[in-house]
This record gives sequence, structure tokens and C-alpha cells, in this order.
Amino acid sequence: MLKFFLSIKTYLWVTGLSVGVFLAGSLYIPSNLAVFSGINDSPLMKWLSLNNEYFIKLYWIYLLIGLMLLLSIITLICSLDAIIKRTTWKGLIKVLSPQVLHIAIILVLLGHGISALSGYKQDLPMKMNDTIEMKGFDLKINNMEFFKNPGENSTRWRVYLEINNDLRVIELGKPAFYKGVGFYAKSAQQKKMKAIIGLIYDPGVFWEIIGAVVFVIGAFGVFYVRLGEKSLLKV
Amino acid sequence: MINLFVILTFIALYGLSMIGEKKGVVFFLIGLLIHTGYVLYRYLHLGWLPVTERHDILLAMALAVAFSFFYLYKKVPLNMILNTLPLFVVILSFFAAFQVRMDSIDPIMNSKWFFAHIIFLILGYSLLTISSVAGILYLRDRSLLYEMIQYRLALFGWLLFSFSLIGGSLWFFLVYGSYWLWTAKELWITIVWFYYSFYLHSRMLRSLSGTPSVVIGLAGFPIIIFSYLGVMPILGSPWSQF
Repeated sequence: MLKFFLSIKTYLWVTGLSVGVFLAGSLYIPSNLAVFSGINDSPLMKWLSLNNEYFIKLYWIYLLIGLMLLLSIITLICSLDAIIKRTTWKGLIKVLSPQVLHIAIILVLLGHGISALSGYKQDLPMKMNDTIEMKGFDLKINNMEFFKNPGENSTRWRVYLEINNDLRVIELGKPAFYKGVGFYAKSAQQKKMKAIIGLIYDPGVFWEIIGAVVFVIGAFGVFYVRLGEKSLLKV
Repeated sequence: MINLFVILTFIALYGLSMIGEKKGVVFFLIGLLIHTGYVLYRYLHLGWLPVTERHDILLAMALAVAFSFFYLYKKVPLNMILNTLPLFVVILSFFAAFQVRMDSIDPIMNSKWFFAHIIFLILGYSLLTISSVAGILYLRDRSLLYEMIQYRLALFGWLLFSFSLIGGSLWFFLVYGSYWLWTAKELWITIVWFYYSFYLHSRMLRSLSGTPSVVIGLAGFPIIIFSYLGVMPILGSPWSQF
């Protein structure tokens, strides 16, 4: 059994199949927009449970979940095997760097898994000075500003949002995070002084960021080892 | 119109350089000079790094690939470089020439994470493209040197492409609160990532080492081109403008 998980053939089959399933998905989504229209608005598993009558068109997502789980297991077993059997002090970075990359990929897949299972996304249209209670937060827009930066082709907006009486300034690409929830100024109308405030809680993001940091560390290790070798690339 | 004329001029010069030998080098270097000048002109004209839309991104990618001439020059016979490298530069520049050029920036893109995403994307795709050049050299000459160059460049390209995905995910999360979307575009980007991961591991299998893995690596180039240029017009997908 262990041999199966450690085999490079298994890895290649799983990766090759994943490419095929991603390809199938890229063909299904544009040709079934009515089915997939809400897929990005809620956690994946919740969306799947609400749309299980379309199983014939969604089978590839279930297949992909299975393949990603298998890939995580293979990657974890291979990395543990390499760390246990091949680690020596002399070639520590050389052996560990690829394994650090593997662990980073597992963390990223874990983040995706958590995002698919939990969290919420809620868009809230709000007028200035209205107070609205949403997901346990009292929200009020105190002020809004509109401005244009040089070279930009449309107007930016800045929203002064009170979250439980705590004033936060949010704008495009600069959300506020309060008690683990992200508050986004998704759009705004200058004439009506209205804005769409997005509330996003995604616990998978933490693992994604950890995975990204670990990946960068592993990648630097690979660069260090490969560029330091008396390699064919060394000019 | 003048811009198109300049681009077509350096494309023609790159094309002419494929005749090889000394004349070829002269054509290539003049093409490279005009190409570099055009990218610099775009930077000075816009006031920000010209990497916010396809026209400029493809030209930057082509320029990075063209500059690999100075690296390959030390390892590969001149004629072999001139018979392969300019072809890839011409393909990328040709696609760039007919993309709509914009002189303004969408506020969504005016973010350091977006710039990081695109710069790593350009570097990553360029290295993956140059690795394809080495793949062709291997198929012509069967020299292990080219196979090694193809692998190493693909490895570095794949790592930089991964950095690009990290930057892109952070950027998108800060703008929209999502680091991943189920769209044809995102799925194709993931296909590129998994495909090159497949190639990098395929060399470890004895039955695939050598020519089969070189061909697998080489097939990555059309996948990159389709993922970047083909998804929007053929499959239709939001977020395909860059």
C-alpha cells in the first residue's frame, strides 16, 4: 500500500487526471452559466448541497475534491519518506527545500478545503447614515468620498464605516478586518450616496497565507541549491 | 498606427534574423534594440510599469525571451539559437501587436500586489517559453545539455509562476474577498500549474526520461498561449483581460 503512495507513477496519474478534470470543468462552466452562476458566492460545499439536482453537470467537482485529497495524501507520505530516509546534515537544504514546497502545497489545499466547508459571503446595500445589523455587527456609513487618481480610468470611493461604533475607513483593495470578518467597499454610487458593503468570513485564508509563506521559503531554498550547484545554468 | 508600424518592424527584424550567422545576429540585435526602446517608451508615456494590459504584457514577455539570447549565446551554437529563439519572440510579439492598447489604468489594478502578480507572471511565462526553446534544441541535436537547460528553466519558471499566483490571489482577496474563483480562466491557470508540475516530475520516471519528457515540456508552450489568449475568445470567461 505504502509503495502505491510513494510511486512517482501514482503522482503522475493523479496530476494527469487532475489536468483532465480541470479541463472538463473549464468547458462545463461557460456552457452552463445558469447552473454555475452562484458558485463563487458561497462556500463550495454549501453551494454543492444546494445544487445537488445538477449532479450530472457537477460530477467533475466531486472528482476534483477526491483527486485533491489523494494528492495531499501522496504528497504528505512522499515528503515524510524523503525527510526520514534522505535527510543528512550535509545536503540539508537540498533535501528539505522540495519537501517544504510539498508541505506548502498541502497547506494551500487545506486552506481551500476549509474555505469550501465554512465561512460566508454577504453583500449589503447601504445608504449613508442608515444603521443596519448584519451577522451580529451594527453597521453605519458615516461618510463617503469620491476621487480620481492620475492615469486611472474611473472614480474611486472611500467609505467611513462604523462597525459596532468602531470607525474604519475602507476603499477599493483596502478592506477592514474586524473580529476575523473582512468588510469590503465593493461599489458605491456618488449621486445616491449608496454603497455595497461586502462581509466576508473565510477561515481558509489563514492557511492559504501560511502555505504561501512556506512556499516562498521552499522556493528560495530550491533557487539557492540549484543556482549554487556547478550546474549547466551557471554562467 | 505608428506604434503598430514600430512593432511590425521589430517583428520583421526578428523574423529576418532566422537566416542565421552574422547577418542574422545584426537583424536580431537591431530588433531587440527597437523592441526595448518601444517598451521604454510605453513606460515613460504611461508613467507606470507597462504591465497592466495584454499588449504590454505580451511585449514584455517577448522582450524577456529575446534577452535570453545573451544567456543562450554562451551555451548553444549561434545558428541553432537564431533558428529557434526568434520564432517564439515573433509569436508573442505578433499576438501583442493586435491587442487593444490602453493608456489608462483600471483602479482595481493599481495595486502593488497586482504589479507583483503580473511581473512574476511575465518572468515565469518567459522562462517557461525559453525552456521550450531548449526543448526544440534537444529534439534537433539530442544533446543532454539542452534537456538539462529545459528542465532547470522550467523549474525556475514554474516557481516564479507560483509566486505570481500567490500575488494574484492576495490582490484579488483584498479587492473582492476571494482568492479563488470557479471560472474557465482560473481553471486554465491551474491547468498550466499542474501541467508543469507533471512535467517536472515526469523526468523522474525512467520510461519518460529523455525525449518523452522533453516533448511533454514542449507541449506546455501552447497550453500557456491558450490559457493566456484563448480562454476568453473561445471559452468566454470573466477576468481574462490581463
